[in-house]
Amino acid sequence: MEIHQILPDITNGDAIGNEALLIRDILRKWGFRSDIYAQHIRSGTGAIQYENYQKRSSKNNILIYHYSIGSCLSDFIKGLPDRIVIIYHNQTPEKYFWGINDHIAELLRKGKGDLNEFSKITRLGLGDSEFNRQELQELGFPKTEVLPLIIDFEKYSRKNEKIINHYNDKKVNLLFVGRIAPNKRPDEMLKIFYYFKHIHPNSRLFIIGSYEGFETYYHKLKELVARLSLTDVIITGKVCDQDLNSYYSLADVFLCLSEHEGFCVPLVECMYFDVPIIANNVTAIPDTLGDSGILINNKNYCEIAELIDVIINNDDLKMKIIKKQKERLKTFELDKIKRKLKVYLSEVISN
Amino acid sequence: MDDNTIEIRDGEINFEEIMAKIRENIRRRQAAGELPPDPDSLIGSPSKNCYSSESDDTIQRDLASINSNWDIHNNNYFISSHQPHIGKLLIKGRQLVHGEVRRYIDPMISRQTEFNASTFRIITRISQQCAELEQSQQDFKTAFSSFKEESNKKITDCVTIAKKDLNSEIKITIKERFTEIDDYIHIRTRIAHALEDRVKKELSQKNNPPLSTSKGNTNYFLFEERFRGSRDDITQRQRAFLPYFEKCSNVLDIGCGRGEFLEILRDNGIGGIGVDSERDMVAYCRSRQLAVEHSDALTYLESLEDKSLDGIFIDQVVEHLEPDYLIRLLALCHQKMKFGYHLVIETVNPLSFVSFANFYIDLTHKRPVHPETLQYIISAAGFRECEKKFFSPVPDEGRLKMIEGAADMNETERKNFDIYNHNVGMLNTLLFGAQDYAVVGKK
Repeated sequence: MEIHQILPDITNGDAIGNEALLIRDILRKWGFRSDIYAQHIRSGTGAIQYENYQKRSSKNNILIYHYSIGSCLSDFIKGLPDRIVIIYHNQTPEKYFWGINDHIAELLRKGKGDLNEFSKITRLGLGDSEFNRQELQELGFPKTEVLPLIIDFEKYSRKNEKIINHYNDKKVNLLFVGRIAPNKRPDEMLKIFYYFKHIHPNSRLFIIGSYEGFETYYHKLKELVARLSLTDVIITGKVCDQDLNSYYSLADVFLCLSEHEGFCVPLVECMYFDVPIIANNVTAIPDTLGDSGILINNKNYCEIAELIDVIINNDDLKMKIIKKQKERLKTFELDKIKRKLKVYLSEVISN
Repeated sequence: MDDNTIEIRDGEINFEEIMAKIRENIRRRQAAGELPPDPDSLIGSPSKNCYSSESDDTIQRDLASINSNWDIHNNNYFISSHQPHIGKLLIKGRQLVHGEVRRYIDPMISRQTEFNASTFRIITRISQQCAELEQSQQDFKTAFSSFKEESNKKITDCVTIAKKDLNSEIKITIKERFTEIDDYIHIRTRIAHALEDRVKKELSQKNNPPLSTSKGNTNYFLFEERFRGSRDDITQRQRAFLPYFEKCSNVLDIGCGRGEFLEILRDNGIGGIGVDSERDMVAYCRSRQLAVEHSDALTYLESLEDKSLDGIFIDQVVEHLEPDYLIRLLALCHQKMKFGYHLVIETVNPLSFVSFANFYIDLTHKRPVHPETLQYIISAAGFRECEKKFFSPVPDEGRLKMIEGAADMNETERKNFDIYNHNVGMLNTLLFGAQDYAVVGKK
C-alpha cells in the first residue's frame, strides 16, 4: 500500500507546499512509499508531474489531495480508484480577486463546485482548522476531522543578521506577514498605522509577503501609502525564510486584518517568535489563536492603534499575551500532529 | 462576537481595563486636538473602495466590481513553461498562436472595453446623482424630523401650560362662585330672618304699641341690600382706608353694617370689633364669625376703657346723626383712643349735586355734613393733622362732555371753545363731583 499526495502547485516556502513535503517525509519514515504529484512544480521539491500518477494509482493506495483552489486535478482524481483523503485548506472567496487576478478568481469559483462533488467519494475530510472542518461537514462530507497545519519549526532558527542590524533602531515595529492580496486587507493596516504614526511618529510598518500575480493591487497599495502621506512603510515582496525570521525578531506587534484565513501560519510563527498578536476575529483565525492573542471584533482603526500603544507601553500585558501564545504554540508541535495523522490514516487503512 | 472593538479570551488579562485605557487615551487626544483627520477623507471616493471587493453596501460593492472589471484586456496571461527541455519551443509555439488569436480578438476586446468604460462612466454619474439625491432626502428627513420633534414639544408644552392655567382658572372661578353662592345664601337667610322678625313685630304691635326707633319701621339690612351696593363694591372702596390701621390690634368699626371693613381687618391680621344698633346687621356679622356688639355707639364707647382703641372707623354713619350726638361721639372717640392713632370718618359728599340728590334716597339720613364742618368738629374734638379725601368719582359717561378743539380754529372760536370747556369743567365739579369724602384725624 502506498500513500501519496497530490496538489495543484508545489513550492518551497509556501505553507501548503511545506506541509506536503513534511508529510511526505513523515510517511516515508513510517515506511510507506510516498511521493508528491503536482500540476505546477518548482524545482527542488522532488515532486512529479501529476499525469504520471495514473501509472501508480491503485485502489489499495491512499491519495491525499491538498485542496485550496480549483484545478484540472479534480477531474483527474475523480477518475482514480484510490482511497481519497482531502486536506482542506479552505478557499478564499473569489470576489476578492475579480479585476485583481481574474485567473485565480476563476479557479476559486470552479474550486467551490468541484469540492461539492468530492463529498461523495472522499473517505476522510481533514480541515486544518475547525472552521475548515465545519465547511466540509456542511458540504456533506461523511467523516471529517481537524488536522492542524504541519509546521517545521526548525526552519525558524536561521536569521538574516543584516536585516536585524539594518532596522535595529528604537522604532516601534508593526508587522504583517501574508500575501499582498485584497482579502488580507493591507489597506486597513495602513489606516491603523496612519493613526498609530500620529501616536508614535517613531514607528514602522513591515508588510512581508509576495505580490506575484497581484501587481495591480500592490501599486494601488503604494498609492494609498502616498495618499495617507505615510513614511516608514516597508513592503518587501516575497522573502526567504531567513529574512522572514529576522522580521519576526524585529516586530513589536503583529497585526492581521485579514478577512479570510483557512489557518494563518503567521499566527503560529508569531507565537514562536514571541510577537503579541492582534488579529481579526473571523474564519479560522480564532481557531488558530485559541485563547491567546487579541481578537478584533470591530475594525475601529483609531481604537486599534491605541490598543497597540497600550501593549507596547505595558510590559506586564505584553508578557501575559506572549505567555498565553507560548502555551497555545504547544498545540502545533510536530509530534502531536504526527500522532493525529497516524490515527486518522490508520482509520482509513483499516476501513 | 461582541460590540467591543477587541476580544481577549485570556482570563488573566483585564479586558475592561485595557478598553478603558484606550477610550481615555482617545478622549485625551481628542481634547488636545491631536487626532488626525479620518483617513478615508484623505483617500477620496471612489478609490477608497478599490482596496477590497468587500463593501457594506451592495451597490457600492457592484460599482467597485464594475470599476475593477470594465477593462477586459487580459494582462494577467503570461506565456511560460515549466518543461526544462522543450520549454523554449513550447513558448515560441504558444506565442505564435497567441499572436494570431490576438489579431482577431483584440479589436473586439477593445470595442467591448470602450463600451464598458462608457457604461461605467454613465452608471457612476447616475450613482453619484442618486447618492446626492439620497443625501438631500436624508437631510430633509432629518430637518423635518427635528422640526416635528420641536413642534411636538412646543405643542405639548403649550397644552400643558394651557391645561395648568385652565385648571387654575377653573379652580379660582369655582371658588369665586362658591363664595358668591355662600354670600347669597347668607344674605337671603338674613333677609328671611328679618322678614320673620317683622311679621312677629307686627303681630306683637297689635297688642303693644311700638317703641319709637331712629329708623322707624324700616329694616336697614333690607335697605342696604337694595341701595348700598354689593359687599364686594363696599369692600373694594373701604380697602383704601386700610393703611391707616396697619399694625393695629384693637380697631372699632362704628356702624359696621354688614361687616365689610371688619372682614378686611381680619384678612389683614388686624384685630377689630364692630358696633351696630341694627339687630339684623349684628346677627349677619356674627354669622360670618365677626366680633360685633349690638349697641348704641355712645353707650358702647362709654363702656370702654380710656385710651384702649388704636383706631376708629366710621363709614356712612354721621349723616344719620343729630349734631349733638355727633359731637358727643367725636369727644368719646378721642377719649377712648390711644395717642398717635387714626380716626377715619367717611360720609356722603354734599358738594356734588348728584350725591346730594341721592342723599335723600335713604330715609334714615338726617342731614349731610359739609366737609369743612366735619373737618372742623373733628379738629375741635382734639384730633390733629385732619385732612379731607374725596372718593367715588362719577364715571365719565355720567358727566358733561367737553368738546374737542380743531387745529384750524380762529381766535374767536378758540376763545369760545376755552370758555365752553371751562364752564363744563365747573359744572362737572358742581354737579358730578366725588360722591363720598372722608376726614382722617390723628390723636
